[in-house]
Amino acid sequence: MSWLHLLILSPFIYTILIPFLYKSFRRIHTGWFVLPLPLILFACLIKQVKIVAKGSVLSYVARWIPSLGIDFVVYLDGLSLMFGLIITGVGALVVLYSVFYLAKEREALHNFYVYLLLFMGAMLGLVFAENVLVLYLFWELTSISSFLLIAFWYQRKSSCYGAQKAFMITVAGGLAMLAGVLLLANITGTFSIQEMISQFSLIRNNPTFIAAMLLLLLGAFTKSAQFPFHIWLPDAMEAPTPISAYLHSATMVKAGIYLIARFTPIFGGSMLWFWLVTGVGLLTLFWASLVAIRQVDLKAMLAYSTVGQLGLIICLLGIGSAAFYYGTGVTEPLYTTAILAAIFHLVNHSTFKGCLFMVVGIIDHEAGTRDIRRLGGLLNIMPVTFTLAVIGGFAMAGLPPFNGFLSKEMFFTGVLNASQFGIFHLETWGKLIPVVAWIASIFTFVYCLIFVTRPFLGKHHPQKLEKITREAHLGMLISPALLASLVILFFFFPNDLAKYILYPTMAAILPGFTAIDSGLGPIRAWHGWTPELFMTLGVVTAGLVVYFAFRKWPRIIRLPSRFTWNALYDGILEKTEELSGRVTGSYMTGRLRDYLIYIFVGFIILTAGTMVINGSFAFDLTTNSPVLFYEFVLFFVVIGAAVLVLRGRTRLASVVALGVVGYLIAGFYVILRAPDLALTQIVVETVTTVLFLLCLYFLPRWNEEKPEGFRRFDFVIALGVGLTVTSLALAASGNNLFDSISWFYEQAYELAGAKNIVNAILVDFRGFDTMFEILVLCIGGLGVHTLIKLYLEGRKSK
Amino acid sequence: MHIDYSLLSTEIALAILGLIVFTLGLTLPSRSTNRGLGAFAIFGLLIVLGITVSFWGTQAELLAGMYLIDNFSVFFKILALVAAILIVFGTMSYANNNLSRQLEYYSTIIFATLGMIIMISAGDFITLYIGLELMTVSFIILVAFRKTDGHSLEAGIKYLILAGVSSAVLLYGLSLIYGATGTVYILELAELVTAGTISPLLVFGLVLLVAGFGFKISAAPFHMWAPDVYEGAPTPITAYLAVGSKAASFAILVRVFVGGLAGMQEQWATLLAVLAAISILLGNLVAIPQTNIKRMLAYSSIAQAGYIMVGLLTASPEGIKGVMFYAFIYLFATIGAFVVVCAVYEKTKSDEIASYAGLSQRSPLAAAVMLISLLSMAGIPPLAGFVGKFYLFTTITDNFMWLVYIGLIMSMVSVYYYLRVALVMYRDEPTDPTPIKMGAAVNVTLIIAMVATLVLGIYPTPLSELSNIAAQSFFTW
Repeated sequence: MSWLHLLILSPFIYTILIPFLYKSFRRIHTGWFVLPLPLILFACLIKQVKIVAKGSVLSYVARWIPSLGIDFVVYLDGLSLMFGLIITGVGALVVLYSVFYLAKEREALHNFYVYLLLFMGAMLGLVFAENVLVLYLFWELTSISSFLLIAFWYQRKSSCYGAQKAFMITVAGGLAMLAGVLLLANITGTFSIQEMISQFSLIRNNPTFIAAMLLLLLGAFTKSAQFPFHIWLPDAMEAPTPISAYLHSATMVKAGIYLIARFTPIFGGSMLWFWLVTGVGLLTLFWASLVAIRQVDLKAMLAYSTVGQLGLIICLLGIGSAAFYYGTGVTEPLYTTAILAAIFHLVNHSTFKGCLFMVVGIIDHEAGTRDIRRLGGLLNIMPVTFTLAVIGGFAMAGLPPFNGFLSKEMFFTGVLNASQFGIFHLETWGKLIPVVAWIASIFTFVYCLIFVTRPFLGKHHPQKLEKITREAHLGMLISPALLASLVILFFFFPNDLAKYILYPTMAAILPGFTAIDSGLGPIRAWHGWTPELFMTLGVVTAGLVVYFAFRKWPRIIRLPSRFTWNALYDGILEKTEELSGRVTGSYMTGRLRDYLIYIFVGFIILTAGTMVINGSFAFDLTTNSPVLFYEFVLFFVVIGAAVLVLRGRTRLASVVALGVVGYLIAGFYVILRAPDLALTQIVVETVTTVLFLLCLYFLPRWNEEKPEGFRRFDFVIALGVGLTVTSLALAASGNNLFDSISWFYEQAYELAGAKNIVNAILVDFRGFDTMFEILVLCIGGLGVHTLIKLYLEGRKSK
Repeated sequence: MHIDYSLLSTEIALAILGLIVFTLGLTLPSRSTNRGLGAFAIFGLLIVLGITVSFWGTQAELLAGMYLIDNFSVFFKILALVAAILIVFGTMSYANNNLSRQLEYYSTIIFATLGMIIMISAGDFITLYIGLELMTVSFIILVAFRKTDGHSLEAGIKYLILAGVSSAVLLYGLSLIYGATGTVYILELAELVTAGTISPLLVFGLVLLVAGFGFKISAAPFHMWAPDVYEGAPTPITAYLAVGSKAASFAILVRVFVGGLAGMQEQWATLLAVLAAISILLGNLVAIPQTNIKRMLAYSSIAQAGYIMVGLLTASPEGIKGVMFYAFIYLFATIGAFVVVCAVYEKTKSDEIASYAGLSQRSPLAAAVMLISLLSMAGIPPLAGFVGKFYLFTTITDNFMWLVYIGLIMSMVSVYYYLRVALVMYRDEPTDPTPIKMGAAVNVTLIIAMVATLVLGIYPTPLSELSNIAAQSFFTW
């Protein structure tokens, strides 16, 4: 146990206190009790910044499940530290915001904060975990807590639908990731991520390399809501807004990015990885930005924009992964700019998107709706909120003087660089990347503009709103204002951020990277009339044109709802249920006859199948003794009696015929000179037949007096069982037998003084078994007694 | 021949306990004794449990290998006893209200436990079969125990007939193996059956054995009885069938296949892998549309049987350890779920999933236990089920990777139908909002099940080490 373990576990421990705090201090908002925790954790992590910036890495071990080689190893490097700071920092702001957002009178606050802390702990565990299994464990825990938080207002059907969808998709991805890391562990023989990275060449040469990569990416793409798995994120917006700001924009959805970044040293440099990561990211960016434009719900717009921005970051990471084409990774700016841009944008996105979500929360809270068709003219009523929206929105659009401008410029540099790599067919296809990125940026600019203008400008229509709108409570404005100030601060001092956060993070992704000889110049807002600047200017111009021509757009980009991915998801669920319903209905009939058919068919397939596969159908009749006349007689009479059992007109006839079969078997024993066996068989047969006849008395009348018609199917199955068993018996008789058991006969007389071998075996050689068998019979008797008692009682009560 | 009867203390004590409880049930006439009888049975079972625990570390055979006592068998005996105790304890009020004046109930449960214990320790085929029969006959009686319910009687008859068929198949298989090797002793069998000496007869015996045991552990395609019987039987019995009967059958399955027929591993591993895959697929897919919670749990238990079978495939100590670990945590999850089913039934008189609407408001504890149990069965970390599945599946990553994928995908499917129960419990408004009052005994059982599932998920080391030791003892014969 170390301080870092404690840091991860402290939210979990704190959850235990929450219900008590909630119950004992009903008058104080529970959020106030929660707030100090993320603040303290944030402070703890901030202290590490300087140490990590110097290039050192902290790692602590705690024994956990030694038998499996799973140790709870935590690992603090630039990458995990950056995530840790975002998790705790945004976490603190979100808790503060929620204090004013959720009314203490109405909401189940104890649940809310328990889930929130669970999530925070899980997320911290995820980024600090060094063991892949521990990583997986926390990964699924974030899915669970996300499920709980989305369904926080569980009374709403849409909340539950969204929660379920998010859970299904992310957990499915999680399982894929588990399979992927297990493959990696199989190759390398270790669960440690760092040890895996050190054996990357072993992994790359393994045939399961691609399978592991695809599975891992599946996990990352589902978690980070990449196309086509993005469909869960918009539905997840049913969660309370602080949660959307925290989980579904700043932290949890970035876990996929974390995973990709973590495993880039292993998979980077492969062409498939490059194109999958870059391509999916780019496609997601394009698609989500396009869809975001036609959203009328502000939160849905932000959801799609989050999807798109995540795609942008992932695309950049994909481009940067080309650095590993040359072994352990080159550190030339040509490649590294993309990675730097990815990290920088990730940080920036957490700030401006968090701010925007909180703005939407304020609008929702004060105006009672998030529908832009009903909102308008809020500028005069909520000037502070408007300012915050402008800062966040323009940062997202990539305008100065906000941090988004810097990372957007770097994004353009990154995509422009891609075509100069000269590998992976980039010299031709690489030209496409900047074009798509540029078009997507136009859409991004447009929806940012919509976001900023539509609710705030234009005319205010109080009659469309359920509430009288006012400016938000001061407390609710603190958090977004802090984030907004960071947005501006990062624009003016990007190089300090780079020195302490971004470069150490890059060093964690690229093993050989050092800030000093990286060749990356300082981040500057102005670097001359570069292509990037022209691209930005183009985005603004084109974006303004699109914006003003917007009214004609919605119909063009609307897909028929049948062809959406959502319809596919719903369809799969529906079809699966239908299918399994049909399967169940068709074979679980509740009729014993059907069950017996299945069982016998299973029996035939298993046994006859084995026989055929083993080729053991052979048997040798030459060594057998000749068949006597009596045996022929008995044989045919047995068959006749068996047919009579089936074709008997009354039950009585069938039972008698069954008895005949049994007695004739005894006849066989006599012919084969086993008088004691024959004796036993006759006694047993007599008793069973009598019992059977007694039972007949109690059975209800048979409705069909006629024997049932000939059932071809049953006949085939019966024949099959008969043939199987017969050939089994023949094969058995051809088997080379072990020593004679005549020993028993001699011993039976000499040791036990018995003249009947059956008796001797029962009471002497297997005395214990007989005793237990008697016990079984007793229990059987008791059962009969009980059931008769029940029957009599049932009659009495009637 | 000298026989050390002290090695049979557990069995003797349990038999005596069963007889005392039975006699008390007959001689004490008043209805008020019902509760007292249950308490007495629990008390007695606790003593037997204590005796069994004291055998930990003993490695001995009785009557030349007819009866084996090692840590492996002690582990499963403890499991069976813990299951019996928790079920009797947690469902006492259900039994009092629904099975009134049927005082044979407790003694029959004890005899079923005795059957399991004999089976678990059996060292030869005949003892094995007798233990199996004792268990099965007791269960036939118990399944048909609800006199007023036609379903219960129907389930009893189905169980009787199908168990009869399965016993016949099993006996046939055992006799073929005897025919091929000339021994009924499992330890001797292990020496006789080596890779070079496999006759076709032995293979047939093996196949029939798989079919016969397939019934007992309700693995597909021999699972047909499970849903109907699970639904019809009184709920405590369903729980005991799902936990005890299954665990004991797995114990003997391990004993015969890994202990006795390890030389034929090549032959049976693929067969078992296919059956495991079918069970996992079928159990999970068919569980989806179920509307009755007991049926749903029945199907999920078919899938669980498939998961546990995975542990056998490698015939290694790690696999056996996985089987034991999983069986133990499955016990808590299953008992948690079924005790909730009992408690809800008592109030609503219904086992339909729809009647769980708003359970979180009517009884937060019951809803939480149900949720945790179901998620553990689905194998969601950090609950115990995940660790268990992990132990099982890591053993087969080398040879049966396809089965690992099936297991993972189907875990996902199971999340879906388990989650639906969760949504009904947490989302829907109850039709009748009165809180469900459960007795202290039920609460204690539920809390035990919940805490065990959580703690073993987060810190599995103690149980994992115990099962490791037990698995080692299995291989030291």
